[in-house]
Amino acid sequence: MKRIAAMELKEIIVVTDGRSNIGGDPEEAARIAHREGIIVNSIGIVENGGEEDPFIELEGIAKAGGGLCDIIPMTRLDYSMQMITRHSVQMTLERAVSFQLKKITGYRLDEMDPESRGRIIEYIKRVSDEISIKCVVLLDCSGSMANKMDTALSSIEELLISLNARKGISQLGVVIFPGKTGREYQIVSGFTSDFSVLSKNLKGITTGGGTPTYGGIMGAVELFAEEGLQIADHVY
Amino acid sequence: MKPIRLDYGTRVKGRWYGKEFEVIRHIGDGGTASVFLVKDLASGREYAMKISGNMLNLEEEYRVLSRLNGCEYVTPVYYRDDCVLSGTMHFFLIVKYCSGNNLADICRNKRLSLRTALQVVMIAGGICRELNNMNIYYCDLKPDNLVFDNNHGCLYLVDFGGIAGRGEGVTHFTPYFDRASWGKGLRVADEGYQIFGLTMLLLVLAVGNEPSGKKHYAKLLETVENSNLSKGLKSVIIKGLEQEYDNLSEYCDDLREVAVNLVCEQRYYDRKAGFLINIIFTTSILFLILVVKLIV
Repeated sequence: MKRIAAMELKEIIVVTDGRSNIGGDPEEAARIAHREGIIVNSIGIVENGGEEDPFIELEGIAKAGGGLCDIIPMTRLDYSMQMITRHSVQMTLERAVSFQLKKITGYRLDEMDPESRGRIIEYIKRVSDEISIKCVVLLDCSGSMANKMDTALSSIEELLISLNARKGISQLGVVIFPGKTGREYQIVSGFTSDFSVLSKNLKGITTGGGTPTYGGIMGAVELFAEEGLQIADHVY
Repeated sequence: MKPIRLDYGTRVKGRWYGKEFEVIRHIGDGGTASVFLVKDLASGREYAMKISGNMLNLEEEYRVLSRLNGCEYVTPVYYRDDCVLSGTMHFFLIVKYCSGNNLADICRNKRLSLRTALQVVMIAGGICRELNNMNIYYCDLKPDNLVFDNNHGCLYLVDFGGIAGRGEGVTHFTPYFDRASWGKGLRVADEGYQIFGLTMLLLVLAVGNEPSGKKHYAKLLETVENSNLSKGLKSVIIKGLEQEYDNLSEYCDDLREVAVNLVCEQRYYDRKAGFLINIIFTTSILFLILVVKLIV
């Protein structure tokens, strides 16, 4: 169980208000990320009374990425990002513990009766506050997001505040899509726990262009890969 | 994260302990769970069923509620089990059904009087103090989580899914009532966090602040200053938002003092009004007698 406590959660949160319209299939990108050990969650932002149809794609991304999908109004973005991260931590731990239990007892956690699993759940709850988290927020900066950017950026800052209240080490990176000068994505903030670094890196983000979600997810995967090369707190 | 929908008449059978329940109606949805009014098919009694796909949250809530069984401000929990719905494993709790309304619904129809709002916040503060003594820090303080039981005339706290111990990160919160969202401190469970939440609750209940939209702290202070609240209450609210109180007791004592002053003030005005009415009445009688005498 010690190994479980030393785990690290790698997570991407895709935040968008529409369907991908440039590049490859975003579900495929989520599948590639998941194979790299990264959970891909998705959040779809609906305007007041808007249709949820464009977000079927987001459900597919979350499914392929082993994560969760949430369709919400803009005002709930900060709450949703935090809830999704917490669920990802718990889900990851639950799966890891279940795997170990199955090996030892022959039963997964949900195959045990409620009385017997009580203590294990208590352990998961404690550990979920202690494991390390590396999270990339992948933010749609296409033209339609223009009037939502202020809230989106403050929600990202909120997420770091929340993560920093945990006992475990948490680091947040931000990738936007599309990027500047025709690129599909742009890493605007490397992984950091420092609120002032994040705030500084989020300044000057502009909106415009289409929605290359595939390229965006691949950019977020690249940030995790670059982290492996010891690149941190780096602004691109 | 979609809410669970169960139609009227759906039967939910516990996988481990075998009890079977029939859905009567949907009551509401929380962050990760949905609540239904159900009937126990064996006894015919009605209960509230909280059901979720999230085993950890439900189990955690069951653990806390079990510890608190017997407390008058918490709905008793009777049973928990797993069930399979549309091929997916779900987890549920069976708790006492309170036929009441939460304060969000109550306030939607009519704003509470200042006196009632103060009483509600003092009761909620008292409940938090008791729970804190057991290292159960309830941090999601908002009108939706306070239910007024019509039958027994008492206030219940609901949704114990995100309880934290002292100093732990707060995982269940509502941004409007959360000090970190306003840039007024960490999202960590302590009495300062609760005092901030209770003060925001007071502003929603007594001043009618809408718990949504952008959070500008300077504008919030402006709203307090421009309100028609007494000087004493404004000072308690500012101190509460700034978390200048050492603990919840001190905060609740100050609120009590404001409430007592409010009652005294009310009585003074009532007496003054009564005195005026008496004078008008006596003068009218004397005037009538005078008129009658003049006529006679």
